[in-house]
This record gives sequence, structure tokens and C-alpha cells, in this order.
Amino acid sequence: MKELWLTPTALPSIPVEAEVICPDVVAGRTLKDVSSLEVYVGNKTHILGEFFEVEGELAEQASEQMIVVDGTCQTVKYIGAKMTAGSVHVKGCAGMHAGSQMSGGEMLVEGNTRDWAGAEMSGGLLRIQDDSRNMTGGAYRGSPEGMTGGCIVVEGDAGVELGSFMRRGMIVVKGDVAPFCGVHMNGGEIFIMGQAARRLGAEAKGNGGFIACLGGVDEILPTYVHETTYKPTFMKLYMRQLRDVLGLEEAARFLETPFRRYVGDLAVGGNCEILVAEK
Amino acid sequence: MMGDLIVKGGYVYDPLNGVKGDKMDVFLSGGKVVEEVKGRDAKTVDASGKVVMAGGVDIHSHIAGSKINIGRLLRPEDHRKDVVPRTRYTRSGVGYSCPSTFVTGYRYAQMGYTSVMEAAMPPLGARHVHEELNDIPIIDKAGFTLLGNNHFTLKYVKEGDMEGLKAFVAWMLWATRGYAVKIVNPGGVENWKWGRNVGGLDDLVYNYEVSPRQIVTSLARANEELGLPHTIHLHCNNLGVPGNYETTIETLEAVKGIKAAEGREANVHIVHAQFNALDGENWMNVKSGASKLAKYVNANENVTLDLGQVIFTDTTTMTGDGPWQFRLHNMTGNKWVNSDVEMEAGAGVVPYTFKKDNPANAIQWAIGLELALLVYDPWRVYMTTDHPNGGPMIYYPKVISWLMSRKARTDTMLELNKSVMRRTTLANIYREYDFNELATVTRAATAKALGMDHKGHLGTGADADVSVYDIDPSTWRPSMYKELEKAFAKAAYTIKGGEVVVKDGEVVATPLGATHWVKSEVPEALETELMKDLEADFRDYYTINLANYPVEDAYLPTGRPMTAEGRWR
Repeated sequence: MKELWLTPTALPSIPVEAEVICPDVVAGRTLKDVSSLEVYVGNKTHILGEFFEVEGELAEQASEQMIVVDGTCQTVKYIGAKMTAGSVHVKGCAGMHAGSQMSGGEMLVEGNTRDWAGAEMSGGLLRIQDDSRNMTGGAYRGSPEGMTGGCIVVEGDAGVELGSFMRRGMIVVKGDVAPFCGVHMNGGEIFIMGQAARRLGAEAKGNGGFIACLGGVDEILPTYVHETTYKPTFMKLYMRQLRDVLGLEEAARFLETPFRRYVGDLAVGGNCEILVAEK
Repeated sequence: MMGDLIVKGGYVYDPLNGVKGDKMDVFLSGGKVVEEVKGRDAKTVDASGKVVMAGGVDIHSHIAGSKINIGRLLRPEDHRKDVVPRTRYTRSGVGYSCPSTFVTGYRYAQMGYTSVMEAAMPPLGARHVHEELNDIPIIDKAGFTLLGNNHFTLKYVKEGDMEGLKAFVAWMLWATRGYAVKIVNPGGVENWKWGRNVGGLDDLVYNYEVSPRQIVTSLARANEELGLPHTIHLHCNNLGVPGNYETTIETLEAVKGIKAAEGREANVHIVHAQFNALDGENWMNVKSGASKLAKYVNANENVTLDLGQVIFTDTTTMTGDGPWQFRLHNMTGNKWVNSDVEMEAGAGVVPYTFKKDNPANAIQWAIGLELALLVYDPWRVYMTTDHPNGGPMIYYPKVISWLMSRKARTDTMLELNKSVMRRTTLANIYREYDFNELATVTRAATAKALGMDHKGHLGTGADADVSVYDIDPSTWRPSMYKELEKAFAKAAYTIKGGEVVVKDGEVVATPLGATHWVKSEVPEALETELMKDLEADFRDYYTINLANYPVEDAYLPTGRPMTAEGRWR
């Protein structure tokens, strides 16, 4: 893989909208081309080279391209948005909409991300090694479908409405999640290893989707009913995969754990499952 | 005042004046079509090898007012996928199924349309409609006033007071600056206020004890006796219910005997007929009732209709038919907004996606085209998509290609659910529109149906609204439908009021078009009587004072009234 290095130099205090930090956009260009790609600051158009030092190599194909953002850029929005292949590595924090609508490739953020990370994602892997803010893997306002594929791993805590309107795909959060996790969920899987806050799975239709709360919940909505306590075999498989494929060692602790199964949200006639690990 | 303009050397299609593709020049001066332009300073628009038609006239569209605005509010995801940046001449905005006002004007003009009718204006929302119409640049517009479920309409129909009803309709058109009488699901929307609907023409409306049949026939009679330029604009009962073609024919049968106003044969216009021409018992075995409806229309000269053609895309349905929208919401599970206009009307908005692999949608698509092709007289069937209900208006070029090319239809049909072959007759229809018929269904006939003498043609004295499309009719063949689509999507020139507003598909000027409305005089004695009536009911039931109710002239900076001579007893 060929590496393109972007080092933030003088980022302005207002956000920079840089959809161009994406393997699909830079692949096949020259370094000069890349540094003159357009970015937006407020209502003004600037070029990427004004805010980043551009070095490294460029590949012909997006799948051969790796972009390394060497530094923290919390005010840079849309890093890796709509990427289809290749990889993006942010060696610090990323701004809003990081990896949103991505459909392939890999993105790694070493610091935290702000709102809408991985929103409406349809494929690929987004790994955030610190906290992620609100609407992670969510649906943009109005959309009937949020995440439709791919995988998001948050190694810190996550904000409200994680995976809202989720249709398919998988989200794993190692830390705690804020309220309304999996709201309107209509498929897909969410694993929470920390504490889950209130109102998770509100208005979830289910459709085969579940939320696994491995670290306990604050409260289950009254529109969810407790069905049974059991040891699902599929959970064992999932836990093994989380440990072996995604490298989440903590998952091994839950290989033999029994789960309380709640089904809802009955307010909308849903059959979404909330599985809470017995302590 | 802009200079004179000569549209030179194009193939002119002007069906109202019997011009069928002759190579000739069109002279424009002072905002009108003239016989000849004298003087050397006239500018020339080169139309050689191109099609020249009058500016398009859309008879039924939803472009302004509370309903489309609810749609805009409800669908941020719709805006996101079609963002329109600012240019030197135009403002920024959003497009697709709920376009912003400015973009609505630009996009219609880019397709060569210069007049568009807003088909549903609730009287209480009239100010809002006119505010938005004023923000739609370039095109001429008009609003149709919703009267089919109005408290006063129902009251006068119940009392059998025809003169009162006529006076009320005339007053209402003035008060809302409306152009025509729009009726939506007569009686059904009033019943919807009680959570119900009407199932047929003879069901009764709660508390008024009148039937949809009485409402339609009374309003049609009032409309014709007032001599309004357009017929009643009727959205029938049972819309979207399989088997509803029977209700539609029954409705047409009910108004058949009513004497049309002077100067036209038609006394009823059925809107988005596609939604009202379903056969079968339910959505599982639905089939096309288009041939039956078309047969009736062919035999009865008093009917005109527009298509409401379905486009396979994600769109937003919005109609004054509140109960139907609730049904659609339950059927699809999509989000829904219900809107109630006290004493007068209602509405609903639900996003909907027409899918190629859905048997019902495929059949609906075919019904629209069947109607267009099976009704022989192009003067009585008009092209619309009921924007945005059947699909956004930006897809008009697609509809044009389906009408003009059987190959285009076949190519689409092959991608659709097989039901389209089995349950419709579309595959057996070989008719293809020519440019003359196309000019008829998109401008000449619609202008005639609307009673706009100065629109839809290029005879002397007509408004200088001209569109030029970059396609050569002498070499064009139906197999070249993709070129046709391209040409009609971006007009080579659109001229509005003698000014070039679109050049090579790009907007180059944005003048403000006129808002048409109808002024109908009411005898003084009747008016006094009516005001007394209105005052009492306004005091008792309305949330707004009668004095604050009519739209002020300030809301119509470009108002263009048309006078209607009524017959009074």
C-alpha cells in the first residue's frame, strides 16, 4: 500500500470541510494535484495545501492507497467520507462525519471522533480508539435507514442515538453508551461492553436486530418484555469473533455468560431483542 | 422594455393554429407574438434544425403552499441528494421531490415550461401560497382554490341554494385570488375530520347529510354558470383503491348533463387519472382499468383528464386527500404528516418510492401511459406527473420519451415486474405521439382547457412564451428516444414574455412571472346576503375574523386577473 501523509499545519478555528481526504479522491493524482484539491471553510473555498503539508506516494487505485493524517484535526469534517476502498489512518482526533457513508476500506482514528462518525455507513471497517460522540453509525435526519452494513468499533464511550435507524451491520462499543442507543433499529447488531444508558432500543422494529448489553443497563423501557434467560449459542460465536478478528480481548469473558432476553419495542409492534448479560 | 426578438428558422409546432412543423420565423415584440418585427435592432435566436413550441403549460402541479412546505419540512433527506449551488443569475436551493421555490422556477423554465398551475390552495393558506408563488421566478402561475369540503359549500349544497353557492364560489375565488375550483375527495375530507372517509358517491357527509354526488354536481353547475375559464378540477373519491375506475366513471356520468360554459365542451377535469383508473379487488390482484376509463372518455366530450404518470423513483406524495394519505402511511409504514385546515380542507404528506419490481407500481406506471395513448383526442388528455405525487417534474422528458417512442416503453417494460405485461394492455399499444400531439398535450390543450387564450400557442397576440428544443424532427426516429429525453430536459432556449430566460439549458435571466386569477362579479343583493351569512359563521366558528380573511392586493405584485361573465337568476 502506498502512503500519503497529510500533516496539519495551520487549521483555522472554524471547521474545514474536507471530503477530499479520501482514497477514492486522491488515488491517481499527483501530489501537486492533491494539495490543490478544494476544501471549504465557512462559505469560502480554500485548497487542501493551505492547511496540510502533503507528502508521500500516490497509488493508481483507491484500494492501494493509504492516507495518514499525522496529527489531531478535530475541526476537519468528513475525513474518509464516502470512501469505497483503501485505508485512512488518523493519528489523532477526527472531526464530525468521519467515515460517514463509507462503503468499503478501513479507517482508523487513534483519538476520538465527534458527531456522525460512520453515519449511514454501508460497508468497511471504522475503528475509533477513543470516544465517539453522538449519532455514531446513525441515520442523517429524515432518512429511514441508517447504517446498512460494515462495522464500527468504538474503544471508548459513545454518545446518544448510537446506530439510530440501523438496518444491517455491526457496532461494538467497549465503553459506555448514552441514551437512545439503537433507536428505531430495524436490523443489525450492537454490542455494548460498558454500561448502557436509558431508553435503548426505543421504537425499534427489530427485524432480526439485537442490542447486546454486556456491562449492564440503567433501565429497560417498559415497552420491552422479559422473555427468558438463556445461553444463546450464536453469542458464543460472536464473542469468539470479536476476540479473534477484531482483537477485543474482553469478549472472551462472556463466552459462557447467560443472557436475559427482552423483546420490543411493543409500542411499535417490534421484535427487537435486548440481551443483557447476567452478572 | 426589452427589445424585439425573432426566433428564426425552426420547425414550429403550434397545434392551436394548425402549424405542424413548418419552417418559419416567430416574431416577438412587447411581450407578445406579433406578425412581423420592423427595424434592424431586433435580436435573433437561431432555431434552425430545432423544434419551436409555445412555452409549456402544466395544468396540475404542487409547487407552493402549506402542503409542499410540509413536504420540505418532512424530508431533509430529499434535499440532501439534490443540492443546487448558486450561479451568476440564480439563487442556491435544493431540488428533487420538494424543491425550493426558486429552484422550482428554474427547473420548469429549463424544461421549456412557462406556466404552471398550483393545484390545491386551501383558502386559509392562500396568503402562504401567494407568498411562495411570488418567490417562484420566471414562470406564470395560478392557484386552484380547494372548495369541495368547505363548510359553506356543504351548507349551500345542503340547503339547495345554487345562487348562494355561486356567490360563495365567486367570492372565494376573489378572496383567495384563485383561478379554478378544485375539489378533492368531495365529502371524504370532511368526514376525515371525524376519522372516517366516504366509500362512494352516495355515502353521506356527517352533519351535513349531503353526498359526494351532490357536492360535485352542484359545484360543477356553479362553475359552469359562473362561466369560469376552467372546469371543475376534480380529484375523485376512492383514490388509490383498486376497482375505483367505476367510481370515476360514475362521477363523470353524474356531471354529464351539466351544460358547459360558453366556449368549451368540457365540464369536468379529472386530475391524476392514473390513480383513479385501477381495476381489481385489492392491491394483490390490481389490474389496469385504463382501457375502460379511456373508452368512456372517448365517448363523452365533456371530460378532460391529466395523467399523474408514475416515475420509478423516491418521491413525496402530498394531497388534500387526508384519509388516503393515512391509508398510504399504514400501507407503507413511512412517515406521515396530517394537516387539518379548519372548516375547509385537509391534507397529508407521505414519502413513497415507486419500485420497478413492485407489481402494483408497474401497473400504475402502465395505466398512466395507457390513458395517454388510448384516449384518441390529445386535446383532452394532458401530460403531468402530478408533481411530486407520481414523480418529480424533472422527469417530464422521460414521460415524453415514453409517449413518443414505443421502444422507450418496451425498454422500460422489460425492466419491470411481469405483471405489467399480464394485467395491462400497454404492450399491445403501438401508438406513438408525434411532435404535434406532444405540443398539444403539454401546452396547447392545457392552455385551452384552462381558458388561457394568450397561452399555449404562437398566434398573433399570444404571450411571447416560446421554447426551443435542440432536436431535429425531420431526422428524428422513435428509436432515438434518448436524444429526445436530453433535448427536452434542457431547452436550447426558453423565452418568457419576450425575454430569453434559458439558453442552452442554463438560466440566464429571472424575471418574475404573473399570477393569474379569476374575477367574477356577483350581483349586489346576493353579495349582501352572502356577507351576512359569512359574518355569522365566521363569528361563530372561524379562528380568524372575516375582515382579515381575504388576501390583500399587496400579495399579488404581478396579479393578472381574468374576468368571468356569470349567468345569474
